[in-house]
This record gives sequence, C-alpha cells and structure tokens, in this order.
Amino acid sequence: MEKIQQRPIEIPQASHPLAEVGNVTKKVRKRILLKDVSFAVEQGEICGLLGPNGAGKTTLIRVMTGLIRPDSGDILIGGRSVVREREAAVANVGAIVESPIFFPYMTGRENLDNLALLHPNLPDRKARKRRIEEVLEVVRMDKRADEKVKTYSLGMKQRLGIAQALLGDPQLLILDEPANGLDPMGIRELRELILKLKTEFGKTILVSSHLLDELQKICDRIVVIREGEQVFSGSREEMIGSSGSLEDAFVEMMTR
Amino acid sequence: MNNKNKVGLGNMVRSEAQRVFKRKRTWAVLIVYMAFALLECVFLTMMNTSFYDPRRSVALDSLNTAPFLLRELAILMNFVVIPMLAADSFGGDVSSGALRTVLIRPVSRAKLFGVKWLVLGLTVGGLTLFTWAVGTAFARIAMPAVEETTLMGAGRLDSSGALGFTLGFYMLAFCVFSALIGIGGVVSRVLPNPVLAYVGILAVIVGGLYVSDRLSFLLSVSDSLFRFLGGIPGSDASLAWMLCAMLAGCAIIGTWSWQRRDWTQ
Repeated sequence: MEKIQQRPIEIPQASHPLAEVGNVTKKVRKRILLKDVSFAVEQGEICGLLGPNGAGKTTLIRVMTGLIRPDSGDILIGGRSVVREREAAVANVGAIVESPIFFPYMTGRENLDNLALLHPNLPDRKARKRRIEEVLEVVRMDKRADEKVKTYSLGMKQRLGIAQALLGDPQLLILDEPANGLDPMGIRELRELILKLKTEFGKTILVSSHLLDELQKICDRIVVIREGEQVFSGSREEMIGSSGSLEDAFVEMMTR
Repeated sequence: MNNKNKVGLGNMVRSEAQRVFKRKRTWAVLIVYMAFALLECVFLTMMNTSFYDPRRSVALDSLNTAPFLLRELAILMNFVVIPMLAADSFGGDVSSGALRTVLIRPVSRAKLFGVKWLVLGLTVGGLTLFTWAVGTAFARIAMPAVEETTLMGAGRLDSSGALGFTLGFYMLAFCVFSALIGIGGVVSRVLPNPVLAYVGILAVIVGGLYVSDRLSFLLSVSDSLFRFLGGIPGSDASLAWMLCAMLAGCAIIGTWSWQRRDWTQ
C-alpha cells in the first residue's frame, strides 16, 4: 500500500509517545466513569486496553476521539490536545468506536467515499479514489465493496470499519473491540491484519478487547482498567510476570 | 491547525448531500411532494377559486395563482417534507450511531450543524422554486388570462407587480421553511430518534399557537404571509421579526449544542 504523498499532518518525533492520556476523569451525574487514568502509547507499538464489561474502555476511547469531553485531564495526540484543539489532534487518528456502524443505505465503497471527503489529506477525487482502493485491498473487501452495508456480516463490517479508520493514513489507530462477533478464522485474520498494520505500515495501535489470548499475541503494552480506575500500565511481559499467561494475570488483577 | 489540514466547506457539503440523497425516504418525500404539486394544479383549475384565509376568497387568474399553489402545498411542506427530512438528517444518523464516523473526523461540529441546515435548506429551496415555476407556468397556460389582478392589501397589480408580490411571497415562505428546518435541528438534538424527532417538530408547530398568536405562521404559512404582505394589522405584522429571532435562536442553540455537548449515541 502506497502512502499518500505530501502528507500534511506533522508526525511527532519517534522518541516521544504518540498518545498521552493524562489524569483523565469523567463523571456522569455522580457516577465516576473514569478516574485519573494516565498512560502513554509509544509510536509503533500495539497497546492493549483491557477491562471487564463496564470498566470504562469505550468511555476512554470516546474521550480519546473527542466524542465526549473529560471533566478533568487531557489527551495529547502527536502533541496536540484533544480537549483544546480537537480537530488538529484527531486529524492523525483513525478509529472504530464501540461498533462499526455505517450508513446502511450506502454500499461499502460509497461509505468510504463519503467519509474520505472529510479527510484533509485527501483533497481531490483522484487521491480519494486511489486511497479507497488501497484500504479495501488491505482489509480484503474489494470484492464486496459495491454491496449495500446492510447486507454485510459483522466480520465484514469490522473489516470495513478498519478500512475507514485507515482512510486518512493516520499514525494512530484506535480499535474498540474489533474482534466482537468474529468467528475463529475472522479473529485470526484480524490478528494478522493488525500485526501487518504495525510491521508493514508502521501504525501505532490502541486496541480494546476481551480476548486475552489475542492480546497476548499482538500487544507490546497493556493498560488495565477496572470500574474506571487504571490498575495496570506496563509492558506485556511485566503484566504476565510470574502468572504464565495474560489471562491468569488479568484474573488475578480483577480478583485482588 | 493550518488551513491545509482543514476539511473544506465544499467537501463537507458534498458529504452531507450524499448522505441526504442516498436515503430512499428523501426521494420518496420529494416525489410525493412534486406529484401533489401537479395534482394541486389540476384541482385549482377545476375550482378556479382559492382563499387568503378562512373568511376571504379570491378568483384565480393568470397573474395571481402561483401564491395559492404554495398555500395548498405549505401544509404538506411543514407537516411532512421538512419534519421528515430534518428528523432523518439531524437525528437519524445520530440515533443509529453511524454519524460517529463523521464526528471523529477533524471537522467542526458547529459547521457540521450549519452544513446540514444548508443542505436541507437548498433541498427545500429547490422544492419551493419548483412550486413557483410550476405555479407560474400553469397559471399562464390554464388560468383565465388577465392584464391586471388583485392581491390582498396590495390593490390592483399589473403583471410585474403581481410577479413582485409572488416572489416576495415565495421568499418569505422559504424563510419560514428555513426556520422550521432550524427548529428540526434543535429538536433532533434533544430527541435524536427520528420518529420522536418528527413528533417533536410537529409538537413545536402546533404548540407554538398556544404560546403566542405570533407563531401561527408555522401552522398556517400562507394566511400569515398574505396578511403580512398585505399590511393587515394584527399578530402577523411582527412576522419578519419573529422569523429573524427564530432563525438566530436556532442557529445559536444548534451550533452550541452540536459543538459543546457530549456525543454518547
């Protein structure tokens, strides 16, 4: 896959974290959804976001993508604040939030074409068309791209979701439960795709999932949150420690 | 963020227009409206008479028919076309979650609200223009040919005077339709479910009457416009101010709520 020429978005220095979450707190009425969550994602790594249902993973991803504002704290992406300069910060982010939902009255290609219009680094029709073909090929959806999205299986929607996240050739990909609803073959394909995005295209990826085996296979770093509080942030090896597996370490952490 | 990293307004408009016109419901609403416009022409030919309001009737001729075509169709516009289009555009994609893919792009949400209003405004403006063109052409072809006509409060008018009155009538009607689209945008932010948004917009139209007589133009567009253009004293004399206030209020509330509020759908 070719990179878009004359990429207008500034890429931060390799030695700096690409994304920094700093003391993020979010409350809804009196309920605390996130409390003082802080971690960093280094450029070129895959960071796994772990936590039981209702832990606050999707809320954190919504905050990181600027869909909701934190009550306190901030997120820097490429050194830009999502709170103060959202448009500049998210220009370098591609994401699937919660689930891959598209405009059902359009085909897969039409959805991508519609969203490509909203990428500043795809200024003309030719660049948009070329990029759409590239991302469809990466996620292997080129054969079914002209069918209406409402006819797609969940696995196809997940792949189209990754395609739309890749449209602007972002440095940071945020994938919220991308393996949800996939069969074992689909999960394996997704794992290979995520690793390919990291190794071949140099993407930095934050991925939330319940599938601990999968995260163990792909993640360099793990962040664990429980009831809105961060209970661990460190390398995969540090988390596994003496437990033997990520699953055992996670269960131990949740029952502590 | 420098300009080359910003999404152009033209691309935002094209993106929104694609979403509006890819919906089957949009086309169904437009086709039904246009079919009604043509049927209404036939109906006016048969009747040869229309009404300024429930008490005052008028004989139709080649110069004064166009405003009366919109009189009949404004009800369809205010109760079906605009509420359905606004509920779908401002609420439908939010409610389904599909708009998330747009909201996470580097676009100003205040501009996104404005673009939605603009695209629906252009669509409804197109229908208004269609109604004027059909009404004018039909009047010339099928209604009794006259050199002069009368329109309420305006006295006797020759063909250029009648054209001026008709254009003023249609432009004011378009302002009312634009205000209603803005109301749809605000209501849909509170009630994004398209069905609830549709009912909510109708509730504002009907409920406005209970708030003040000055809001009656949302319910009976043409009656209010005839009284305003004819300089008839009464609650419709303040129509221009009410329209300006409504347009400004919807713009302020809409842009604020789209820009500042959390998106949890």
